[in-house]
Amino acid sequence: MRQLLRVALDLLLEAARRKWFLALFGAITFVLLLLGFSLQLDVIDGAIAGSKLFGSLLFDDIVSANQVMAGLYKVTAYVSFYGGAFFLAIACSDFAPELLAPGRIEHLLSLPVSRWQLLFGTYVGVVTLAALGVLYGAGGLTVLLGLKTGVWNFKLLLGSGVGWVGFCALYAVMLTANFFVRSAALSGALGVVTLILGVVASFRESIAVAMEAGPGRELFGWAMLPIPRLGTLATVSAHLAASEPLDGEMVGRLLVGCLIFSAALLSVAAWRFERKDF
Amino acid sequence: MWLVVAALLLAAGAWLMRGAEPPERPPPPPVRLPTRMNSDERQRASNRRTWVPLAEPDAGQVAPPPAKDPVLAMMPTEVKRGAVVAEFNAIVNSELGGLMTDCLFGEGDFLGELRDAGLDPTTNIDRVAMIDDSLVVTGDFKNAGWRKFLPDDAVAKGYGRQGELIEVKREDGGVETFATWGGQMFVAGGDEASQKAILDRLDGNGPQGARVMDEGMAYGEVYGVLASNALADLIGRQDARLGETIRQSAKSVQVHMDVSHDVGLVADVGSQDPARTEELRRALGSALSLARMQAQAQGKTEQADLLDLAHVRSAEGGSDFRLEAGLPYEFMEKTFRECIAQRKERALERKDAGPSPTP
Repeated sequence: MRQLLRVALDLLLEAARRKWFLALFGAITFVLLLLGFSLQLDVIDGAIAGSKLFGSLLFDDIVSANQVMAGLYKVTAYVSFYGGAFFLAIACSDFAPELLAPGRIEHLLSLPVSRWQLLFGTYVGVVTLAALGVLYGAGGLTVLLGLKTGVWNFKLLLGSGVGWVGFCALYAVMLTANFFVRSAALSGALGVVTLILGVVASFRESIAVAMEAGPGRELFGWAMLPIPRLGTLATVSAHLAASEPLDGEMVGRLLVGCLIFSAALLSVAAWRFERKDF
Repeated sequence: MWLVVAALLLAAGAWLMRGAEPPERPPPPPVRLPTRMNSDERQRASNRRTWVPLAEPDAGQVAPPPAKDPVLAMMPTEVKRGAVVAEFNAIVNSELGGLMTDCLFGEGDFLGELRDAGLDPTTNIDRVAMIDDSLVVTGDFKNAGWRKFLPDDAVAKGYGRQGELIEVKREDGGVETFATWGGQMFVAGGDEASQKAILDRLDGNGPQGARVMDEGMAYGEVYGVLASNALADLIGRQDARLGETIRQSAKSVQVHMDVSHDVGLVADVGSQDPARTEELRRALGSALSLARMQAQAQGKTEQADLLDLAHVRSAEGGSDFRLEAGLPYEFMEKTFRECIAQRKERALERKDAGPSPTP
């Protein structure tokens, strides 16, 4: 376990050396500043009289601040979930190809670290990196909106946590793909495809009714079963951020199911890694 | 080992996530669709071959012409709107028949009056056919006292070998005609000419040629042929573009409906222009898919299930296609029960309101 964490730590140090952190946090800071300067929320006694984005009127009626904030947090959670997953899938796509680059992998394999520790360590390193990014982005947005409105809602952090679990599944697919074809482009593309499949899996019953009843529809239903329900997780994230009631058992099952999917994909990667000659 | 772990984890994840979704609704039970004649229907068709055309004596003729079903014999060679036959007796005596009769007639006086006149629709009427604007009812009317419903000034005139035309004066001064044939057919609707044409065909005097309906098409509890124009007019009221596509592409539509337990409908659309028919097939298929998705999105799961039973299938090796639809027994039973309850409610309201004041 210590070796695994050491690999993860090495990856984080490597990311810091490559100014990767700087780029990630710079991008998140840019988005936060953009929102900070453009979103004008006039709060008067807990009610928002007008909320303007980029100078154009968003709401012209006086409504409860909590009500506005719930909607705003919801939209933010959705945008963060899908935007964050897409951004991280692209941004993190070259970690695994770098790990498996000729020269580096031979060096790593010569160290007293087993292959599975190398694999899981890389995975833990990248998802930790993503967690830090998510924490910074969601935390920054919470502080920004809190300062602007005087309404402090830390549920956005919880919602972002759900989004991070979704990314864990995406990255498991991306990492595994690299043990079959070492390509950052393919890895990123598969991350995006998994995100889309995750949305399709969430709405598979609605989509299935558009298909003719028969083997095709059955096959579609079964094929979608193991895919993490990323669309539902996005909804869960939005509801959490907006402090709306949720079925705890359902959320738990979805999150654990997503993590189990990640573990299954990593097992496939481990199987492939054990047999691969470098 | 890793692969086994992966497979087990995938299965566990699938099970876990499936449990986080609302329970799956069981698929609606299969509905019997009338796609071909079964042995009972073949036997039924055989038993109905009672009509022998009265041919002129011909020294060269060795054998008499084959016997036919009189309902098929009276069919024209072409239709403007359509010709549809309903197996009335089979329908009212089917599993849903009782509920259907209560829904249509209730416990009103009309059914009682008919029975008093010796005409019990559930036993005396065999089939009901619509041929363009004419309504033909077949059954046993020899001993029925239905004539008591006719006004005193009704005039009955013999027509052809077994036919009879009945003229009844209307309030506006015009004349309404009905026709009977051989104590087993009652013809209403249309005009006198169309009624005479039906009687002529039953006497073997009509135009020769293939009828719009033959014995091979007489399966299901409702069967017949619809002219594409009639269908286009009907659909065109809801969707003008689809109506126009039907008019341009379909030649005719052969319909079969089975109501022995569930309600299953099969419509075979004959092609006039293969390219346009393919367009029509796609349009109908898309409309069904869209309706299913809309019903599902709106949470109308029962409606979505019903639409799930509807399909558009290409006919084998041709440009024709087949539309199938079904209504499960449970749905029909529920619908008829609601209809009966509404009928009773209306009857109670009328009773509570009392007789309407006379001016």
